[in-house]
Amino acid sequence: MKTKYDAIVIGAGPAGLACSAELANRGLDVAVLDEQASPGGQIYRNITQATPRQHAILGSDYTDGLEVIKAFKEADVDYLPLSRVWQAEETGDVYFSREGASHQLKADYLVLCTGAMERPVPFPGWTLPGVMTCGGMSNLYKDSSLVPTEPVVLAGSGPLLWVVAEHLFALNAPIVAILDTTPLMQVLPAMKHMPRALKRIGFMLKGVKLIADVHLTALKRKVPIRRNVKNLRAEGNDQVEWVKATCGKKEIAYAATTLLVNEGIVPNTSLLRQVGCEHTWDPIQRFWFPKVGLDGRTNLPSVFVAGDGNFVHGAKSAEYKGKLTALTIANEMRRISDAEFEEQAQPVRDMLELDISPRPFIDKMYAPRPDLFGIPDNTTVCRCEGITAGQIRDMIEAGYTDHNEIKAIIRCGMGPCQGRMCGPAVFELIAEGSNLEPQKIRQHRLRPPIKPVSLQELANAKVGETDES
Amino acid sequence: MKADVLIVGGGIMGCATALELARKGKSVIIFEKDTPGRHASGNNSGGVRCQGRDIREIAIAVEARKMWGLHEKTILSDCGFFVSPRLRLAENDKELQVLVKRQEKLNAMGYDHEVVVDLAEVRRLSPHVADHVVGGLVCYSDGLANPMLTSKAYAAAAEREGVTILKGTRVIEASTTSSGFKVRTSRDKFYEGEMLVNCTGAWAGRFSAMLGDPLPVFSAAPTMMVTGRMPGMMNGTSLGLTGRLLGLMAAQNGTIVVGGGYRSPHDLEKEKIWVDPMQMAKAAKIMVEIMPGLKKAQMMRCWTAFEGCIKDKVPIVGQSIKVPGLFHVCGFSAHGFQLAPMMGRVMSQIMLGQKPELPLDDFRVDRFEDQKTAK
Ligand SMILES: Cc1cc2nc3c(=O)[nH]c(=O)nc-3n(C[C@H](O)[C@H](O)[C@H](O)COP(=O)(O)OP(=O)(O)OC[C@H]3O[C@@H](n4cnc5c(N)ncnc54)[C@H](O)[C@@H]3O)c2cc1C
Ligand SMILES: Cc1cc2nc3c(=O)[nH]c(=O)nc-3n(C[C@H](O)[C@H](O)[C@H](O)COP(=O)(O)OP(=O)(O)OC[C@H]3O[C@@H](n4cnc5c(N)ncnc54)[C@H](O)[C@@H]3O)c2cc1C
Repeated sequence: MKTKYDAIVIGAGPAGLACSAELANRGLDVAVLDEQASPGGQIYRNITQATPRQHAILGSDYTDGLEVIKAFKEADVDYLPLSRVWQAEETGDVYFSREGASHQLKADYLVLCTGAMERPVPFPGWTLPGVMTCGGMSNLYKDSSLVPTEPVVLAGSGPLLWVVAEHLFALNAPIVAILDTTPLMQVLPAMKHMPRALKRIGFMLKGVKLIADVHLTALKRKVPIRRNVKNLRAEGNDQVEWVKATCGKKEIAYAATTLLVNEGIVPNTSLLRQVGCEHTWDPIQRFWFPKVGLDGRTNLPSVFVAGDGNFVHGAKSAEYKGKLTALTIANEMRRISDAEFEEQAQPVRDMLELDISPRPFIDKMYAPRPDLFGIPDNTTVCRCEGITAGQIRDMIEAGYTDHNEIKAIIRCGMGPCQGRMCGPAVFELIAEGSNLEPQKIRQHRLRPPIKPVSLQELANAKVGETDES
Repeated sequence: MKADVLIVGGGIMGCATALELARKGKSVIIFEKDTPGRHASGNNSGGVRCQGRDIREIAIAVEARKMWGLHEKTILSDCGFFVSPRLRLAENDKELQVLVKRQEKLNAMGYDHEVVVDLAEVRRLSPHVADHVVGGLVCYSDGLANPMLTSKAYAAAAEREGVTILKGTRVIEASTTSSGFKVRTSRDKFYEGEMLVNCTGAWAGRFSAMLGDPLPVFSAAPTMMVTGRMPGMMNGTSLGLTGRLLGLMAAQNGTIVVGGGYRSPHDLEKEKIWVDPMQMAKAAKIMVEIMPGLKKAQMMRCWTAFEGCIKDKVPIVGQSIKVPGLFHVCGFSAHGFQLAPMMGRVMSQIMLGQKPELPLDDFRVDRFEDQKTAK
């Protein structure tokens, strides 16, 4: 392993794969670090090892990834799987754990392709064993062909809910209900984005067909699909036993041992914030995203961001953004001239623009519902430290509007996940309780390491002498 | 606007000083460029420790410790304070001798809060320390507090006494007038006062330079980390070492706060600190030697904050020599949190022209010049 590269790419999803291959093909020295065991990121997780049956179930959206993997494998990239990056700095230093020790690498450019994560939303019972995310379920299937064999309820709002429902139906999982929490009227404001979305009519029809297919299968198997669902909760002693909710004026309840939820996907900004990228608030999807152009540039000259970590646009766009970022860096390092850059970047920009066109519609259609964070007072919000919504509301009432101060006093967000799980909820509670504009509220600070590191691993690091002061 | 006293810096020093002055009838305005507790005061490791302090600070620290026990009455918050004896370990006989000498010296000065203990007592206090440890020096009354809660409680207490705290307000100009001082803020407003107090922490050198009174205070970014929960490991006892850099504080929830003199590179102007994890790697190496059970612990989070330091590691407390009416309380060199309650008290005394209840000669601003002329 070298210790110094032209560029280090973090994340081997479609963005990181496309970016690193492109950089290597321009003659740059490139390393890719990813915590998974094989390349592919979230969507193409485990694609190189997956069985034909897994490919068949997951369909062309998955199998298509083989192309970007192939290009990646053909390029001269130092690929370091099973590397958990826990700190990056604008100086180009990257710190990570691998094989029981911590390591440091340096590069002129860092490209952060850390992707997206499911929006964490606390609700009563969300900490019970048996509650997991739709994406988490999908990962279990991609990694090890695991499928629920006991009654399972799916709940939430957004494309991933329907994708996972389709897969689970195909796998004959015992789905007992699908609870769509999207407000009924939300499609109306979204309609103004329809003309633009129809630029990709094929994609839109595919989405419609997916949802229609799931409805059809549900009808055949007598699985209820409830719409306009509110007040979702999981109940049980040591494990989910009941999934309850309200649907219109009616109380509904299903016996189940697994509840899969998805309330949308948000950029995974942990590393981006730790390194110091500036962020902007998206009032529609209600998430923070880095201030990044489509060319990947951030406020820090040495740091670039590509893929869903920059804004949730999906896998193909992630790939295009990875490529554009690579071209920008190659141009900055004078490996390609300005003219070459323009000539090569334009077609990628065009594809990206087309690919993104349905997004405003989807973002509006599946915008987080207004009561999404109307969390009851006795519900745990910070699961690491066991802090409830009521305790947080008390702090806000006492005048605290900075998650960092709330954290320092009641430890909310101070545990191992560093607020990854409670951050969005605390933020919404502050917005609700303080009447502050969301963009004016300070986000909680991310301190390294963004993922815990064992002291033994740390002690095994090679370091210089202490300069005591 | 006018007040008797203008205080620049709303950390714990500024708020404690303001509180005491207000209680003695002075009108006070505090200028704080961010919020009280945003910097060192709200983000330190919460160590309320007498043990191991520079001999020059002991008198004040012992008195301050009494005030820590009274906060519920004096500022209406317990500040999250609890007792966690601080045990300084000797890893060999030579180190043990250093500790014995320290106790002798303290006893001679009339203090008995730090006592040398044998191996049996070390093991009773801290059952999981490594076998090579030979003894220690313990201060049973040391403890830990919640720094953010404490900073906010001091700010709230000062406000209750009528102090005005201007948050998000930076002093960008300061000058002397015929009757005292005049400052201009980032909100483009002017304020006047008879006395001016420099409580600007890491920025103390810069601020003082505005008034033509340069100070030997430099900024540093002490760097700490906290581990995951290790129930029972520390047994409620906090640890320090005699010959190496390490401090381990035993939080009540089983996590361990680790520090002891590690620093990260920083830029005070941009207010940016680049946490250097390799500093923590050095601490980790020592930790697993001192307490092998910590191999299994996780580093959860590193953090740092800006602090004003002085090369001899004790603060500057008192009136400026060059600019009468200007007072400095700064340069706490990463251990001012414990002293703060007492600093408020002695500052209010000297500012009212009284003799301070404890001598402050060791903290004179011109002590370095004294040394030069003495040599
Ligand atoms: C759980 C989940 C499941 C999804 N499933 C689908 C799906 O089935 N179909 C679909 O169309 N879209 C899915 N998405 C959306 C999908 O993630 C994106 O559209 C696409 O994968 C984005 O590509 P990317 O390259 O930006 O990031 P990703 O594909 O997410 O790749 C990011 C990579 O970075 C790695 N990484 C992140 N942080 C670190 C770190 N600190 N150290 C080391 N490595 C790190 C991750 O392990 C991951 O491999 C899913 C999203 C999630 C969160
Ligand atoms: C990581 C760390 C760990 C520590 N651990 C301990 C410990 O365990 N025990 C202990 O006793 N001590 C500890 N300390 C030291 C202790 O925190 C400090 O000595 C103490 O908090 C100093 O208080 P202060 O009010 O002077 O500084 P600060 O809290 O830094 O306050 C100074 C304030 O001045 C403001 N300011 C500066 N310039 C201006 C301006 N021009 N206009 C307006 N406002 C301005 C700043 O915004 C700041 O809020 C630690 C320090 C650090 C950094």
